[in-house]
Amino acid sequence: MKTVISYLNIYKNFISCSLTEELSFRLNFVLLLFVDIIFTLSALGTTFILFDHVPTLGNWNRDQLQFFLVFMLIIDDFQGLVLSSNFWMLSRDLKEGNLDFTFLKPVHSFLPMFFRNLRPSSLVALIIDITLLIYFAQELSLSLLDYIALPFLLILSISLRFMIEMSIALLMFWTTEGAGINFIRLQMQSLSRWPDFIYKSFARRILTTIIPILLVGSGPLHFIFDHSKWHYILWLIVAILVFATILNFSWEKARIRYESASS
Amino acid sequence: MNNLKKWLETVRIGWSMVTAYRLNFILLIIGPALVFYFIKVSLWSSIYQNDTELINGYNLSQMLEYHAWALIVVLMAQSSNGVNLGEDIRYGRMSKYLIYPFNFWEFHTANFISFQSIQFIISIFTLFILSQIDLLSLPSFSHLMIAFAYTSLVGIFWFSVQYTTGLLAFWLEETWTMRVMFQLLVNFLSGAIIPISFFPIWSQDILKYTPFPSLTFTPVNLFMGNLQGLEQGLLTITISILAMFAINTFIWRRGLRLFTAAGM
Repeated sequence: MKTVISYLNIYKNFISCSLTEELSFRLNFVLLLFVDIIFTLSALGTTFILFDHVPTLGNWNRDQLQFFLVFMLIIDDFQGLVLSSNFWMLSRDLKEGNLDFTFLKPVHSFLPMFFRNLRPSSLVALIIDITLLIYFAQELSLSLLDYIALPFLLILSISLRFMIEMSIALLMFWTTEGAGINFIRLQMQSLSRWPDFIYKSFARRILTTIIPILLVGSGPLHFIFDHSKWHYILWLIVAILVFATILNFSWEKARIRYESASS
Repeated sequence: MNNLKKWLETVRIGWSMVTAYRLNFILLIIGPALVFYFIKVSLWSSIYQNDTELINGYNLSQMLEYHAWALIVVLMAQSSNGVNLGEDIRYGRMSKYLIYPFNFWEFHTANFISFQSIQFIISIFTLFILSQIDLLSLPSFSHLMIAFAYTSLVGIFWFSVQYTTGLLAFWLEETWTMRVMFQLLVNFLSGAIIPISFFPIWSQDILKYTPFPSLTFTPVNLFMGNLQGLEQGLLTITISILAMFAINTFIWRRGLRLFTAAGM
């Protein structure tokens, strides 16, 4: 219990520092907001134009696809808020040897390595996207059970996304220049922003089993739209557990692999 | 002649720098374009029920060909970025260019030329593979040359935009936000995901007055043998390049007054 409180106190300081830092560069803060808004508008705009010419995408209609997109945008926003900046910092810290200080701290290195830098501007986009999610949920006339399940499903999806991306990020310990690894993460995100059924069987199988990035959004939404597909949720939980193990194992290997830039 | 030597040497160094971290180059430049193409192929293949179905005048083969050419355009013209440029200003590395006999603009333009030449080779290689697997059919030689020349102009425009966003580092802590914003707008409004002819008529009328369609939709149509939008595209791109040049000059002069570097 004492450890949890101590970690929460450290995280509170991380939040405070990130907020101060981001608000010091106000124009940058506004531009970050614009990036998120343009991203949301272009994603929704694409579906509007597409559905002017086609009645459905797979079995999904316009409202279902837009609900899916907004669900994914919320995951992106949450990741932007909590995790994303740290991946870019990790690449730099590895190159410049700053990670030595992270390893020396009397806390689990994951905390300062992956959760040190927050991006508070994503909070605004998160609020906008949650509002849109509720709007599209009403359009789809979701049941009370679906509304109750949604936060839990979001937590599961976010957990899987975090596990997969943190595992990928650890590959930076094996490369000289880590920026490219970050682009693998970004490509994984792009792939997962469309429903799994658009991909042909082989690609779909790979992206739902070996690298289960398609489960992040498609899994929970298949369940929401058709409750008989509960096996997707089971699959999602198994994927989280598997990737938690992979992350733990990779971390042990990465630590051994690490060579301080100053040594 | 002496200056030409400096240009050639910088281009040569640029090649070495790009190819020094090959895996990184593939993941940063080629990977995103290929994944973007894979998503579009998957998306449109799932939309069409069969090969004969027509959606807004395109059947599946034509749509896949459109996106295959879009991949070539992206590889050839829309891959450069101004990351180093912004960092040179932000970290004060720019001061050396103020005393070198080869200025900041010359150095980054020479780097762009070296990058573009590598991208050109990759595009030709991709074009060869795509034509071999029948995903696209080559137009006549003259059309191909016109399309390549036009796409090179798009590359110059793309570089000038990246150069401008990089120069904003005189004022901004981070310039990647501007780059990402531009990239998002281009992906959506240039016809890179959905051809412009699918857009509502009112938005097509507005887009006509912007450079966006000239960045993907027009070059793709040129590669597909349709020269219809060539004059307007050329006019828009040329005006846009000149405008960006004027803006760059203005920003450079204003920014230089603000510049302070360690040791100065």
